[in-house]
Amino acid sequence: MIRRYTYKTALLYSALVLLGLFFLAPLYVMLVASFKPLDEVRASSIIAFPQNWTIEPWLKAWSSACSSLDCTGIKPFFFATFEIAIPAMVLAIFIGAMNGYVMAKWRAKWADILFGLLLIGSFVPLQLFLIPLAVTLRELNIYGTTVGLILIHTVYGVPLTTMLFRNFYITLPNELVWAAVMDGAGFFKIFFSVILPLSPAIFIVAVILVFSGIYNDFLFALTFGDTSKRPIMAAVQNIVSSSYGIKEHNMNIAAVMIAALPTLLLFLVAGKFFVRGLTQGAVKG
Amino acid sequence: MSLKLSNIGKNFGTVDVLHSISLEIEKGDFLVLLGGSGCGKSTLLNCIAGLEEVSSGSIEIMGRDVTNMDPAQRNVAMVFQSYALYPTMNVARNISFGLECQGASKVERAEAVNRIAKLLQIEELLDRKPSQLSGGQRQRVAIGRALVRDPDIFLLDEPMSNLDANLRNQMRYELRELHGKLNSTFVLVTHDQIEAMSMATKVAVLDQGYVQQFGTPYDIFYRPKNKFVAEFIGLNKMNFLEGEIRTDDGVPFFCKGAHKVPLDGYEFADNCPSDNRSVIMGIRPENIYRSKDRLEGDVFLEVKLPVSRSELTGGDVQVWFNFEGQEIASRFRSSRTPDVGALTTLFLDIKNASLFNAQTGERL
Repeated sequence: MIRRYTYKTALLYSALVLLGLFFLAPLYVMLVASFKPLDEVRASSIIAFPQNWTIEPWLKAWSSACSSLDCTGIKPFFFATFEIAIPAMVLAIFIGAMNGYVMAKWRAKWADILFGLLLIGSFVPLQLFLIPLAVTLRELNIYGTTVGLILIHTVYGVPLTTMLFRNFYITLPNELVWAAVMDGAGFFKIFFSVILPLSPAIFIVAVILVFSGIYNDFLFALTFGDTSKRPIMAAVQNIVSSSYGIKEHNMNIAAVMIAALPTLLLFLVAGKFFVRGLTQGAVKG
Repeated sequence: MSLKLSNIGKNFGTVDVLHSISLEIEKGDFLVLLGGSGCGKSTLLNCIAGLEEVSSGSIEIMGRDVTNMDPAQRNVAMVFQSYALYPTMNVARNISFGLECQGASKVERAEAVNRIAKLLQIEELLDRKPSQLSGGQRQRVAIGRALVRDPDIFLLDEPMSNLDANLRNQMRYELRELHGKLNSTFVLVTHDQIEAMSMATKVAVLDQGYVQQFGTPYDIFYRPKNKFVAEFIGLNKMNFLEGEIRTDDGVPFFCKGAHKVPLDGYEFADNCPSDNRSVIMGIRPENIYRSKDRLEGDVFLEVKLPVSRSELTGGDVQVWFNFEGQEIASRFRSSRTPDVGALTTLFLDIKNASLFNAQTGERL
């Protein structure tokens, strides 16, 4: 069949291109601003291309921007965030995968009720948890520490990962588990040898969702973060709202861009798998 | 004995799926659980495997009570309808996974895989993933996975339902060969009576969670225990003639209208029922002939009936006749198809007929 490009196709594509430009416009404005010297940022139009290119704002944001008293840039906070996000992500995904496996493939009593409760847990506004969490962390003696934040993000990530893995595992045929049971494999052997090797796509979905969730968290970071090792979102806020001297918009924007880079890169690298993982189960393997 | 089920009952909540099922088979038997969908045959198999717990009754395998044992402890192996091969493992690991779980060494596993691969002629497939195999090859691997553990009983859940007709015939033959070679006990679930007839040494016909009949394929076909089995078995549906029993000079006769046929050669299950009892005579289309020479016994009913309709099926033609207001079917060579309305003399061979109680449907 020969595809014919009618006016409808043309209309569709121009609409798509316009929409794309519309969504990319803020990114463009930020990018150009971050490569302009400060006086040019103030003087020129926000959409104007940089006259004098400079990477000074990026360098400053990375290593010497000041928040409150210290002028360390966002570098230490950047790495501090990974110290929280990676352990919390690994724990949340591992626990969620286990939960999902049990709920989907073993006739656990109350599994559906527990699953419902977990879901409610993930829909309740975060702010409601602040005070109970503060008390809990204080009692555990981990208030204002990295460990405290890891714990919070793990607990808060488990409902999401449980849902992801359960919904994926429920599409796997039960006979697969039964065959392994007949073969004499135990609970963990089945999980690690049969179920996990089938899960890479859903793992990538979980990594993207959970990592960006923790990485982008602001509320918990600000409330429970270690003041010297603040997670990045809280640190960026500190730098941007720092009230000393003039507002360095180009440097602030560069800081925000640096903060946004890891999740952006994650999507670019794994986005293909993300979409595939999300649609898995809709089609037979 | 190899497998003994005593009063197995199974319910899911308030729904009873199996009712007091008792069966016994010997080592080397090939038991086929035959029934339509929802009759409980797969549930019964899962109970034997240990994948489902029974609600009541007990299961013995090789004289060992396994009712409360885990599937792995029962020393049974199962071939699933969907084969359920592990998608991420190659054929060799699929076959040896059971041994791996038992902690067998690498050398032992390799030996076992080679032995099985040779037996099933799948040596060249060992490095492939299940997705790279055809349906028939997948099935072989699934059988191989069951074989490797040298189980007391092989359980097969509709193993051939995903194969095309040609392959099915071939697998049927191969499975029977394998059964003969191994001389071990097989339990196979199917809804296909040809599979049951061709492979089984014992057949259990199930319906709504009850065993309707348990016996050899020959018994099931020629001596159906009730009307359900009589109707269920046979590719061409059995004819049921309504009539009654009358005794003349001490000899019982089956009477339908003006026709009567002596029953002194018929093996009654109990004593001959009393006079004027309404009964149903079941007679297969294959046992109705147009020539006297083809009769197997001396007792027959000769009738002259008009053809009401016919249906060509290839080499054979199915012809229906009007018999006292009832339709009865017969099969002839299609080269000699009678015309509709033509009066035809028929000989109903009583030797392989069955009599049923008109009320209960039980065999008399």
